[in-house]
Amino acid sequence: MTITPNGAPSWTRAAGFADYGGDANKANYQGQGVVNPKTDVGAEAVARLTSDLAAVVRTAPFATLHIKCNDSSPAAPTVYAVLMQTGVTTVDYPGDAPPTGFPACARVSAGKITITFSSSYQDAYGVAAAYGITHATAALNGTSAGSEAVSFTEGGLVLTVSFFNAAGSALSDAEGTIEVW
Amino acid sequence: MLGGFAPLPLRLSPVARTGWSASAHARAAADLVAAKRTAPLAVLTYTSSGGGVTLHNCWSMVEIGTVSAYAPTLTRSATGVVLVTFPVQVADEYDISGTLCIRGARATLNGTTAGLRAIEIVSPNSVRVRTFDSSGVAADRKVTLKVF
Repeated sequence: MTITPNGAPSWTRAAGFADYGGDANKANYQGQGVVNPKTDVGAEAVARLTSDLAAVVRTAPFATLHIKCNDSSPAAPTVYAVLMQTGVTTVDYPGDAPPTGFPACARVSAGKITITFSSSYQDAYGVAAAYGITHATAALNGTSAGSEAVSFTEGGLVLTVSFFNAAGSALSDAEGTIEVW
Repeated sequence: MLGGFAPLPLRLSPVARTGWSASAHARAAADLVAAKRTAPLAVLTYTSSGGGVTLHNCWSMVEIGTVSAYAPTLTRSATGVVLVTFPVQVADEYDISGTLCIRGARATLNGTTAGLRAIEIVSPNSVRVRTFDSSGVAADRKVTLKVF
């Protein structure tokens, strides 16, 4: 790598529009605007692009996971898919044998699992930055009534997700979609 | 001067190391627009209790933080009932303002016990969250709210 990208990787939420080349006083060189929009990108476009990119990066989930608890035959959850800022899975994996770079998932009890992230990840340029959970959501998948709850320590690496049936009891073999920031 | 030593306007170039090709720019533009369409407006985590409501973190499209002109105001009106109000207008880094228009929201209860929640989009810039225990009785909870 001949250059180091500005700022820090996206999940640190630290990069601002200036890191992407934006500037409050951005202008075309010597006031000369775009001559041919098919071949040129003007200061106006760079300004909008950098501001919008910074906005999207601020709220983008770090990871979205589709998981199924395995309680009838107790085992680690099955991870159907993971969409992370650092990569996406293409095949299912057992939670206790994650591919490199993807979170491990463990069964705690019926309808209750943990998802463990790494303390540091690398972006596309190999720039490493620390990670810690700040927000999380979950949604029970399926055809029956129920609910879910998430538990984590801010800045921690372990997310606990609990799924419940309509009566508020643990829901065995629950399936859900989880997001973390 | 255009493209002479690559000032803006940027002359699209196929040389990957020193330029930005038209095809790469096209992909970046399309993907950024796609990402914007589904990106949350804000995600925040709060706790409501008899003593009021505490905002732990708020990440919005305009900033990361809980105390600024653009941070939402959270008001607890009854057990488990919290109104989250964002500013009507928000400006980007170029001081270009836009009016907020919340199109959807989703809440997740934090903790390890079952419960229920309901979302009400009260106005283009405010959302009311109601939280309940698993029997449907109003209950204060810690909540993560995602707003679109």
